[in-house]
Amino acid sequence: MDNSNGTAFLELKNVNKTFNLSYGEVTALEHVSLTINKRELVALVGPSGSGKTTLLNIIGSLDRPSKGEVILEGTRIDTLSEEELVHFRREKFSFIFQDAKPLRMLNVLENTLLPFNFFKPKNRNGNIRNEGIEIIKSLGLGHRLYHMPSQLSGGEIQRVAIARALITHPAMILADEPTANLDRDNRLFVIETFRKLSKEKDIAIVLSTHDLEIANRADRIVHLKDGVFLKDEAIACPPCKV
Amino acid sequence: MKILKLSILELMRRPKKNMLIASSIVIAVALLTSLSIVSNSANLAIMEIIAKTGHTLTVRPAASSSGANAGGKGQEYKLTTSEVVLGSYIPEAAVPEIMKNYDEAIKAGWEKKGGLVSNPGVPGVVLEPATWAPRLFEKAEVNGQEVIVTGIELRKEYFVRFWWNLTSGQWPADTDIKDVNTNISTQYKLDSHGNVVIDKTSYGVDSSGRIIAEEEKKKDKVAPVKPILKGWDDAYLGGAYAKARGLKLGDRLAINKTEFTVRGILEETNSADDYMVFIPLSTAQSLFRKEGLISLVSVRAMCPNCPVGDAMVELNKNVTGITAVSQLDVAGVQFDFFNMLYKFLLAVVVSTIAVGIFSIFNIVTGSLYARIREIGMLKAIGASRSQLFRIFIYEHFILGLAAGIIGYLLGLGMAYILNTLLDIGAVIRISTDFLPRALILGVVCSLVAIIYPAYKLSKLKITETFRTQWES
Ligand SMILES: Nc1ncnc2c1ncn2[C@@H]1O[C@H](COP(=O)(O)OP(=O)(O)O)[C@@H](O)[C@H]1O
Ligand SMILES: [Mg+2]
Repeated sequence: MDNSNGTAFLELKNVNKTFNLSYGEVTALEHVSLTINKRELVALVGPSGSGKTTLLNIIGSLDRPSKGEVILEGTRIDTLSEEELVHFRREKFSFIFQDAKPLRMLNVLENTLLPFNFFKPKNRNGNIRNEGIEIIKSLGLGHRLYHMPSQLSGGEIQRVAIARALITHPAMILADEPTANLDRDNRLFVIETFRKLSKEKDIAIVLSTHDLEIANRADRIVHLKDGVFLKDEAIACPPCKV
Repeated sequence: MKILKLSILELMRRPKKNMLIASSIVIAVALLTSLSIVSNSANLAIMEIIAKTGHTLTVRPAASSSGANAGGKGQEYKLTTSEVVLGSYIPEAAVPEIMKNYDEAIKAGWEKKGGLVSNPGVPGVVLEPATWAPRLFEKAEVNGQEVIVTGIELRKEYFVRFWWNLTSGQWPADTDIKDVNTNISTQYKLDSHGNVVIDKTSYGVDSSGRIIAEEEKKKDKVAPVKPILKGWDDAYLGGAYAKARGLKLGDRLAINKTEFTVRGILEETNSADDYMVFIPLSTAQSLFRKEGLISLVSVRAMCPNCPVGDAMVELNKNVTGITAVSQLDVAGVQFDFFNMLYKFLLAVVVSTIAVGIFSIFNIVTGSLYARIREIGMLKAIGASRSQLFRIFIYEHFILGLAAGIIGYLLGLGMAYILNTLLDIGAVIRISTDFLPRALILGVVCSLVAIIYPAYKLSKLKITETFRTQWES
């Protein structure tokens, strides 16, 4: 496995995930081992039902593996209690969803600052509101600060989600099909933004996608099929391959 | 605080749905508030009347209604009520026994009821000893025309019939009343020679249960009265009688040839009293040669809800020679009626509330499950289970509170309307007494509907909420 991009941030060891349903068991992941480094941009690629979402959930501590271990910076987190996990989620991870609906009754800036309705920002000097404004501006939404979500386009909404993900200074961003509903310009904007962020802000980013054009702009592509790794390929010069 | 803000925003986001939820709470609260206010006002009004009047009980000679008493001389006169019965008597000496039985029965009944009926704000709701007043009815010639002359103990009578008012004249001063009532009747009886006779009426009961008085024996021995004490010849006239005869204050009356002076004229009460002439009991007893005898005793219970019925039963059982009749006031009947009406309407309201809560529950559950994706997102960005739970609780707390306030205000309005429709005639008393109840009801209804779904949702695993999100 290629760890050259940085130090190991998160490690999955032989993870299995099965869902118990009324009609039987569904295996979503089987023997998945994966290391994700700091500053790395990883694309999960695979057909629908291949286990991408399940894998992202397990990485981000939203779900627990049925078997195997999840190790974050040397600490095993899959055995922690729900209360302890809340802290990891607040401090380490940010999530971006495919259908990234911001809260309808909050404007762009308020949606960006939404996490701080639930906890206080840590290790900040400077005004959190100003930082939010800076982030929004850096995503090209400076003219939309006080607009409501209903006034925004799909691409703009996805940028609000990115802004919200960035405000907490996460160590890792997990994005489940973040480009699925976007046009090409916006898709490219999202992936390029991710690239920049991972390098400039030392954030590990894992996204899932169907789109090979997008995946090829990542540092690394992990191919999944039926819950099993097909291959884990490093992209030597990601943007050149396009 | 920030969670509260999210709750408020969330509330404003679904105005229609929330108004729907709120409206059923508003209706429930308004119904209950108006019902409480009306029934409370009506009850208060009734309770005040009862507190003032008490329930009265009339104790008469046994079988007095048959009319065939008193040695065949007795004739029964019925005026506007059945109060006036001539020719049969109870010895005055029987009163202590009657009152003893009465008081014991009231006390027992009262304790059986568990003490005071709680009606705060109603004056006089304490168990006081009952008061009683004796009367002696006799048909006599007054200024040459026959009329019912009633001997009363002024002080007692006035207290039992507190509604009596004088249109002219005045009651004797306390000391005079004492002289007239106490001194004359219990101490001084004058015989034919003007000597004081100490009255020791004894009585027995004959085979038919009737009290045998000794009037026949006394008949010849006692001469027409010549009372010497102040006020013995005071007369008070029923309003209708005074009007009919054109009698005024200070006029002289001849009753069976004894002269009386009109000291007061009573306001009409639409009862037999309006046609009577009242004179001091002792004077009447002497004048009509009924020493130690009375026609009836009126007992006024000094508590609302006094178990007067119990007392009546006990008296009829324990004291021979008398018949006790409970005259439950119109107010008492009304009181029972309103209590029944209240209970009935309360049942209606409670079932309305139950149905309301159920429908709120459905609406809320529906809308919560529609929010499931949002819940997952909030959890993912770091909302804890209890924070999520609080968002829902605050939302519904505010909703319930607002609905409670609106419902209360609406209820006040409805109280006026109900009051007019039902023609209760009670003065609607606006008090904030029911406001806390209205608010609590609103909040409880709102929360009851949300707590279970909110609890379930906040406990939902994030992946389950996401799954809904990502698959929909
Ligand atoms: N919460 C769940 N309950 C039951 N089965 C699930 C659940 N999540 C995922 N699965 C199943 O696991 C498999 C992988 O699903 P998923 O991770 O959503 O794939 P992808 O995101 O690649 O489309 C699928 O067969 C799916 O039906
Ligand atoms: Mg998926």
